[in-house]
Amino acid sequence: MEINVIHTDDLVIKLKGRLDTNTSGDLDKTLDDDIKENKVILDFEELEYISSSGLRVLLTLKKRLDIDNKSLEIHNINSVIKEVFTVTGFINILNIK
Amino acid sequence: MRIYIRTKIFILGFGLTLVLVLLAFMASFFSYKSRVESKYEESVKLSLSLTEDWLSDIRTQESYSTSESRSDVFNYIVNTYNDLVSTDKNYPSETADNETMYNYLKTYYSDLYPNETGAMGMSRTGPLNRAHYSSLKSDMVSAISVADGYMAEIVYYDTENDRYLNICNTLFKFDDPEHLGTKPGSYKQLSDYDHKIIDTITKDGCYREGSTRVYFCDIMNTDKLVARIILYYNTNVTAETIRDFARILAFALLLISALLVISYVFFAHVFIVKNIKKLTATSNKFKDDLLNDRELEVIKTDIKANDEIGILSDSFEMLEKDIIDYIKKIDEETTRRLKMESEIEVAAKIQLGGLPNKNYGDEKVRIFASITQAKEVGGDFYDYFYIDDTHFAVIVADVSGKGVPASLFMMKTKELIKGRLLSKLSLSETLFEVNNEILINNQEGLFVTVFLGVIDLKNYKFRFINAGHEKPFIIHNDKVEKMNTKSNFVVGGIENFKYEEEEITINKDDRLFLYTDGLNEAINQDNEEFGYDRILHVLEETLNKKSNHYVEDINEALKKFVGDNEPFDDVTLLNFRFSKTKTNLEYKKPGFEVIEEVTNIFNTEYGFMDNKKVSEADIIIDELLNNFVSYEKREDLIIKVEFLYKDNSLFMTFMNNGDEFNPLNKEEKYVSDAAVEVGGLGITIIRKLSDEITYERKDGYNILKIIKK
Repeated sequence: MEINVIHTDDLVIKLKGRLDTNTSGDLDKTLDDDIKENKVILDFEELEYISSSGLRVLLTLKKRLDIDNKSLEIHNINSVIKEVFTVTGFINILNIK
Repeated sequence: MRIYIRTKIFILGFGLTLVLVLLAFMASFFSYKSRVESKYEESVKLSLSLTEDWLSDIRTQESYSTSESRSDVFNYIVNTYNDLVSTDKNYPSETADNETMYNYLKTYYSDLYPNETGAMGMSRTGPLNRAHYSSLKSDMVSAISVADGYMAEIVYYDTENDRYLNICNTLFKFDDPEHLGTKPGSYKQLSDYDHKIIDTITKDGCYREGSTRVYFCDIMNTDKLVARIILYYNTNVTAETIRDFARILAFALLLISALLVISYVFFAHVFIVKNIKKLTATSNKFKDDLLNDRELEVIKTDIKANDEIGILSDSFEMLEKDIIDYIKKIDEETTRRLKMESEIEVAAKIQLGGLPNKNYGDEKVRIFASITQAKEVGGDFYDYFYIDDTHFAVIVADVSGKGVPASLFMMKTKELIKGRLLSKLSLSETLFEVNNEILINNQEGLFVTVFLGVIDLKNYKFRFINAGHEKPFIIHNDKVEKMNTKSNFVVGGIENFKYEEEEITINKDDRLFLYTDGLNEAINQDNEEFGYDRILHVLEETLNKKSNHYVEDINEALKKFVGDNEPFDDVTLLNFRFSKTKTNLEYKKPGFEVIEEVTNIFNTEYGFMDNKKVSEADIIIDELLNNFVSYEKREDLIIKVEFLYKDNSLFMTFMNNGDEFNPLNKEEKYVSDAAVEVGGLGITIIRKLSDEITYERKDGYNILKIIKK
């Protein structure tokens, strides 16, 4: 999976490929550093699908940002990812645009 | 450093003129000096001859009239002379002394010297009075003024006593008796100088000393007395004339040189510099137009010269025109080429669009194809289609030539072959008829190499015709081989050619690798060909890797081989195999890497399904295997995965030899606002993405069966 980090006013992370068991660790590592921005945007336009391992990373991230009163947005999900979010209820707790 | 023509001419002209002036000056000075002198001599001689005429007039007078003419002088001289020589008058004889002579003469000049008394103590009036003397004197003066003489005198030469009796002297002034000239009526003794003069004149006719010239003329001559007119000239004036002349000459020459230089500059400017400036201006303006992309037109130089500059100007205008024409031609060429290139691009797209997908799969067959076009529109194509339920055709062909005609020819051939095959003609019949058909109206003489094959999906028989094409590779019984086919002639070559079919039997696991010569004839920077050996080698490697990515691997190897070189021919690859409708995988002691491996194999074999289905299956694989690997902690863990594609449905089986455990029993977990736990999400997902999911325990294995429809 390719991870593209862009620091603007918000922290924008673009993912390309799959966010699954083997690749979710990479995203974790990327998020290791302190997040200075007030909003984190995950761009899933080129993400094929996400599995539960990926969901885990998202949930951890959300909790972390909530503590600091920062926001998380997910952009450009495809139908498979939407299905997964729906099935797992993530669709209600994540801010999806 | 630039030195302009003007400056050069100025320096040269001025310098040259200066030198000439100097030379002329010197030449004229030296030649003139003697010429002036000789000219002067001539004029003196001329005036002397006039004087001579005058004197001879005097001499020839026979009458002693008192009329105002030169005869007055003559008269006077003669009278006085006669007086002096008459014996009655006590003319000095051998014994006469100066005093007596002097006194005697005084009688003549008594009027002129009123204070002097005569020998007898009486005032006398002599034959000469002031008026007479004046006219005499003025006659003499005018005689010598002709040639600028400075003194003339009339003397009687007393040869006996060697003395001059002065009769008249043009310089003597009665008011100023102490100064210039001998006193008339007196006598003087001849000096050595006088003698010298006399001797010289007697010999040469003229006395010359420096600038002095003396001439005399004897009127009357006796033994004792000579009436003589002596004329004195001073040529000093010559030197002044020369100086004046020199001054004028120098000034004139300087003026001339200045005029010459100015005219050089002027002419240089008019003929050369001005025109060159015009040329430069024209050139600059033209260049300006050129660089600023303005509309170009021939700019006239405005030079009307009939010399070399004129020729240059004409030549320049012609050059402008040539440049304009050339640019126009290039513009047209460029426009044309761009248009053609864009047309070619469109044609290439259309052409590619007419071919079937690069990837195709169903439960029976699997096709992987690729076509890499060289710069121009090419003539390669591949095709595949079902003739009927059990017969599947594969075709790879290469049209000779490039460009739009080749691509049109290609499309036509493709359709003809397909049409014939779908009409259930045999392979040889098909090519026979297609060959003849495309030979009609084939002015360009295009032909096409074709490998045409039909696979019998029931009997696993492969029928084919190789019409002038590259022999395909076959992966047969786990070995890579180059097929040994007959080589029929190309299609579109000669009329009524009979193409021979061949047939072989193949296995379910065999693969056919078809390609065009763009592959084996590709060249690297060392001018090596890719060659059949390399193809074989890459295919073997891929076979060993079990990755099944034959087309990809060949393309990658080719790309590395060719490097920066531009491909000059299309490269078409077609990989055929029977669908792996069943995949069995087994892993012992697997780690998480098994997830990626299984996913990749699945995508390769079954990736022809629609994307959503494939992704969902990927997620299922990920979740289940993750689950197995995470929770089944056994040293001797074995995981088995099975895929089956049938009737458009995908059947997945996941097995592990762990303790009995049905993950479906696990509670479905959802995440809600309150929920914190993440476990169990996987099962939720799997359930949702599967159409059917069952669990059974058999032979020590946990077996999960999932169906996606």
